[in-house]
Amino acid sequence: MTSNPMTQAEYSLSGGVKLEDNKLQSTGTPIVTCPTPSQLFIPLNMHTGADAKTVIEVGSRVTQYQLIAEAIGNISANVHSPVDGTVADIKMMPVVNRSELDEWVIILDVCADASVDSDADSASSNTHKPSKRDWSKQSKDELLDIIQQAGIVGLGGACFPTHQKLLSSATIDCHTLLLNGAECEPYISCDSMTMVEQAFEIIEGCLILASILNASNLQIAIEDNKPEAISAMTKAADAIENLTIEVITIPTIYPSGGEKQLLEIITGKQVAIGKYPASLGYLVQNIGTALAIYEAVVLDKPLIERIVTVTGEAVKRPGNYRVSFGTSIRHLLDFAGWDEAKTTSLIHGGPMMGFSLPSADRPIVKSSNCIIAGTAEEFQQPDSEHPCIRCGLCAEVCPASLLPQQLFWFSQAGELNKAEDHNIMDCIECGACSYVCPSQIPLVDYYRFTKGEIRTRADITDKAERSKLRFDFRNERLETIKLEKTRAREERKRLAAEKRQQESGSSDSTSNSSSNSTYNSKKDEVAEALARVQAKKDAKIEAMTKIQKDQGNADV
Amino acid sequence: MFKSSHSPNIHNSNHMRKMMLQVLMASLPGMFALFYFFGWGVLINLFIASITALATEAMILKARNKDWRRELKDTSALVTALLLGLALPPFVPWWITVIGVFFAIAFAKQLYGGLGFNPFNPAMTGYVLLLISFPVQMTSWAPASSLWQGSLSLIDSLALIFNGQTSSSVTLEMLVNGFDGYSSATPLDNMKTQLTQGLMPSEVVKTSIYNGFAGVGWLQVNLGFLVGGVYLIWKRCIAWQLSAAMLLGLGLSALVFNLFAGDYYASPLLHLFSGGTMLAAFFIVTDPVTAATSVKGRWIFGIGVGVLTWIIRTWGGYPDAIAFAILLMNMAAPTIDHYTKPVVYGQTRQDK
Repeated sequence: MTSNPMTQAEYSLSGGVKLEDNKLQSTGTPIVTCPTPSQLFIPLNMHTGADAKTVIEVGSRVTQYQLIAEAIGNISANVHSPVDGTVADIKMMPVVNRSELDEWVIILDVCADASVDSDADSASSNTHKPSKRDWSKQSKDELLDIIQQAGIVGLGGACFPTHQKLLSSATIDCHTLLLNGAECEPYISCDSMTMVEQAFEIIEGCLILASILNASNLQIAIEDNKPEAISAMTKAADAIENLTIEVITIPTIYPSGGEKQLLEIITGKQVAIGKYPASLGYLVQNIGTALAIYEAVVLDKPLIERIVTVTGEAVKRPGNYRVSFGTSIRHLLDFAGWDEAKTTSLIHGGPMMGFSLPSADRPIVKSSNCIIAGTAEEFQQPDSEHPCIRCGLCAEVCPASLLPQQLFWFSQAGELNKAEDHNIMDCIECGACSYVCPSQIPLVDYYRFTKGEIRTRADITDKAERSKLRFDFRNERLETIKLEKTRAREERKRLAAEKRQQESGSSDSTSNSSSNSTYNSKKDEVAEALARVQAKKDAKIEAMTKIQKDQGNADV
Repeated sequence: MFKSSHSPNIHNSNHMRKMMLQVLMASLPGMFALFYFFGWGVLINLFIASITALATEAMILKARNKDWRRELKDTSALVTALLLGLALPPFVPWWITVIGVFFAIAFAKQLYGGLGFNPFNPAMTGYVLLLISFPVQMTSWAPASSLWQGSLSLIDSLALIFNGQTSSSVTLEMLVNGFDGYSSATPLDNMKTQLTQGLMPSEVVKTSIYNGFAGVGWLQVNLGFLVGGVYLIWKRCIAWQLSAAMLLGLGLSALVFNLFAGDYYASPLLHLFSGGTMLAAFFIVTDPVTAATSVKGRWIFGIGVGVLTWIIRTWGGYPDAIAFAILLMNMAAPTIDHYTKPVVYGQTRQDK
């Protein structure tokens, strides 16, 4: 048996803020399964990327784990039914997003006995428990396929389709798999509780990931305010023979859990602008994602539920709950016991990066790591904005080493070029700057707006470029057609001439040769023109693919 | 319907108003030392300055259709009044204070767009206006009261400031000139005059107004502001780099010249602990609005103020040079910021 070292991170991140934890409220009790409500509202888009496409119709009977919407393209994710039930409706309705825009939602009527069943079963609502799969015999592609089919996305918050992240990393030499158990946002404890209760499953998920990537180093990073999680993971890691899994304790400082920030803490190196962590030889995955991969690969269970921290002073039994996607937040809060009258703030996600919801009638989705029902004392109305006094506190805490107050001036003045020049696109929107701003300026809101403007502008330029290319293509196509026509006409002429020659028998040989030479020179001209067109076309195609590639990169 | 809030949904307890109040509080030790050594005039000046500042600010905010009640509460006008009030000679006629503060708030601050938009430190702009326009009054520092064995009562001080003479017909001119035959009594000014007359610094500091090295009263006043400054740094109200850089720039310039030509140049201790050095280092240079903001920029800004202060004090026409040095560096601040942009995450330290 290998003894696994428990190490302390050697480096720290630049900037960052110390926040009050507020995690103890939700870590006192074990994870409880929230009973399935009578109706589920499952959005088609619970991930980064394109909406999934429904594969069922209104009125269809669905069984648990059945695919109900399939991914469109690579950056999208499958959606499965968490229960046996009937499709009641498919319609646009409010879901959880910052913009409060309606999205397509599948409404499922849950079979009565299914909900009773899950009430009784506290561990997991499996109605048909499959035998465990021995994944060691599966090829890398098969494993990736299972992950894609199961609709797994990064559960740390971004919800980027996991198989896509793995695919893009697997092509580069990834020597280290880093599991992110930092959970740096206050209040949230779902990852920490998962580590305490399901350390062995997480480790196995980690092994599956490592085998896909051929990664030789395995590391798990956990903030030092979670001693139980650290000891549970160390114990589980120790149990693995012939393999060293390093549990690294990192300092508790927000935002240590940001992918690039975590890598800076672990390696002391920064991911270069425009590059991915893979450029450092690292792949970072969230703890919850590793568990989902374990469940998909070993238990054949798609991603249909997640652990959600329910907390806040208006909640009577704060804790962590296993919740099916589509469960209404109101149902979950009712189950955890909340005082709706006392609740003034309802926050989806953590207090730093999460957003407020106007109503509890919203479904739990793949990104729902935390629901906070806060009281007026807990989340005080911020003072309205004062002028910036350039105190520079924001620059001190910025983990991306930006100059937030300059970005603020540029955002206010709509100076997109200058904002871009000051690297606004590298802002990770962690909110540390707004948190410390003595003038209470909602800086992140300004940056989000400006980033949106810059993207829109880039889209417009891009569109113009594309239409120009399309126009050129059209011209070339027309020219090609014209040349083809000329060639065909020449061909017909030649054939006609030959025919005439044959008919007239032995005619003048000199005239014959001269007509032939004119024909030949014309043919050469045509061939040359065609070659020119082809060369132009190749250049254009190259330009087009480059643009597409750039855009693809930007999307990721 | 729950409250809609911006993320982040939480905020630390820091607030601009709190920072401003901390600045006001931190000035108390220095202010008390000034009061102790220079009498009631200090407090009367501050009172006149505060009233003028608040009235001017309110008036202009109202004219600009702003919510003046709310904006007045940020207390930034009081900070300007405090800094200018502390920098004025103790028995300066009341209208000088009023003109200076009015100009500082109305022209140097509000006409540029109010708090946060002014390129020049308002208090120092007001001070320089007064120094250039009313040089006699502005250089008439009454000596520390312990030096003339007596002090003016509150009533006499008020009379002197508002009426030009006390009940016993003592005028400011008499106060300033009547002592020891020196025409001006601040140590820095005195040193300058004596040096031009061929005395060596070591001889000059033996006279009674110095009491060692920095001047009677002035040493304590500077120590008072130093204590307040340390408090502000501890409370993270000011950027320590600015203060350290200014003291370093001033101290090193003075040290180098004093070491190599001690007969002609005053000691760094006189420069550091006399005049408005500590007030400037912890309360004026550190005005975030008009200083450079990047860490490297703060060092450059502070050192610039320190070196310029020494140059103007030594070779310039005015005894105390801090106001000019600060205004000059205020002009340079945007350029400094431009060239000291911090390296963004992932920008240069690229992995090979």
